[in-house]
Amino acid sequence: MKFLLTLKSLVSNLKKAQTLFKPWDAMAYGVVIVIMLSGLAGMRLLMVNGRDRLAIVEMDGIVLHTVYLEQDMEAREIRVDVGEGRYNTVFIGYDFVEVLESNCPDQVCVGWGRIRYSGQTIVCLPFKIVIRVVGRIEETPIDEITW
Amino acid sequence: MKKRTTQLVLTTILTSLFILTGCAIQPEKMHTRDLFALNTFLSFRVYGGANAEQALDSAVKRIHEIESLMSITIEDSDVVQINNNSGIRPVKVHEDTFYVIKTALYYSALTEGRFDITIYPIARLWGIGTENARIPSIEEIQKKLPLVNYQNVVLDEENMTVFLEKKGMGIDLGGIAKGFAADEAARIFKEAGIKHAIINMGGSITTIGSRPDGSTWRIGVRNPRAQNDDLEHMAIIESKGTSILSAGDYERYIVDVHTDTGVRYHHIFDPFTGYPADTGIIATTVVSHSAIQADALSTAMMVMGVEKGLSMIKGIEGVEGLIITDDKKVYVTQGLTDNIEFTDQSFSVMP
Repeated sequence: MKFLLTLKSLVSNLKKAQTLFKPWDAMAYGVVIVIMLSGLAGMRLLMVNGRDRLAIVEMDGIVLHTVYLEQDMEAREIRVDVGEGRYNTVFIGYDFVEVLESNCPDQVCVGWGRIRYSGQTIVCLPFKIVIRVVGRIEETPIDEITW
Repeated sequence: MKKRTTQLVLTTILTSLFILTGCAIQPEKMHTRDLFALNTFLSFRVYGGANAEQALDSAVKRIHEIESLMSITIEDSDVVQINNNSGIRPVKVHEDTFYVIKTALYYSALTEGRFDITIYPIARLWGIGTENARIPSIEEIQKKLPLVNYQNVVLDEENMTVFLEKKGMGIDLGGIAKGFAADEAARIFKEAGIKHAIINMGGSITTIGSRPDGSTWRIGVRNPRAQNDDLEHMAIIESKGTSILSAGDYERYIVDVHTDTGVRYHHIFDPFTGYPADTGIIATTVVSHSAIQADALSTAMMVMGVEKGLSMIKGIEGVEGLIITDDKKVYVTQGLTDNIEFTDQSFSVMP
């Protein structure tokens, strides 16, 4: 109801505006348009480009590395130092991400294998390292995995 | 004249704001949250409006609450208190702890002791998954084995106390607390009006409703022997408001390098031998409407073996499951066959 009233008054105001258009009005419109456009631009920036996939390496909730998985990218090994000689080595290629080596006690991360779809993660529990692939979710064959 | 201009400007700004915020409030937006707790990695994915973030906050708070009660490493947790007072005196505990222990004992009785939370002295001896993992001597195991017996846990419902009768006994709720926490998170989400959500507690999955588009959630079953170029899953189970929990020899284990036998010592122990369960089963999955139930049963099946394990879950209403053996055979209960798709042909599905 409130919305309809606002609309009504807007329409009537617009009609009047044809005769009453003043420089102040132009500025007000300008400000509103700028706000709207910057909002849209912000949303665009926040969204991951539909084509791209990202590999993200985090330790204890803090993002250490983000790598776009693109066809012409150079595959790389990233060493994550946890301190006191503890480390993980992560391989990031266009097609998959995997943990190559770790001196963690349970070795679950090393045995996990390769991840490639959005939503997939490799977790190294002892070192609190999370490696995830982020991107278009509809490509993923499964929502989660039980183990 | 000036008044009209002000009015016009105000209406325009208000209307624009209305439209802009309207754009932000989408009813079924995805909200996610991850955390390390309960000795694992948890991730929540819920679909909802303004209620979703609040529901996530409540769920995380509840998880920490459960952890502070049932952790084996937090010094003043109920569990540590119970263990420290074994053979000494009963310990008054929180009702959540009492409920989980009571449920655990129920499944111990149901599985004739194959699922047993009093396994802790044995588990600690082996230390699988920790930096102190080792293969203990048979004498060490024999010495600890008499301490393992769920029938020596005394519950007093009236006074909410738990007593371990023998000095040196200990309980570990690791095999069941995750399931309880998943049930609690699901309850919180449902009470907040969430219609679609997926909860992952370190590989223990609970879904609420369907996917937002109405289709069923698709839950992969980890290939217990996945090599690098294999897909990580060997089957996909369809889920709509169910809990899917697994146990296996592949999560945490050590390999016997000294005798060169390549024997895999994993973290699920047979309470009768003190050694890792050795039934030829390498993985189990249970589908149920209760995560705590699925948690206990999936672990118990590892110890019970194919025949006993299958006949047990067949006898429980609303529970389905599968067993994978070391010769890559898969045994599936009848009720699950319509909701499962096998994606890895190297496993043979048994009739």
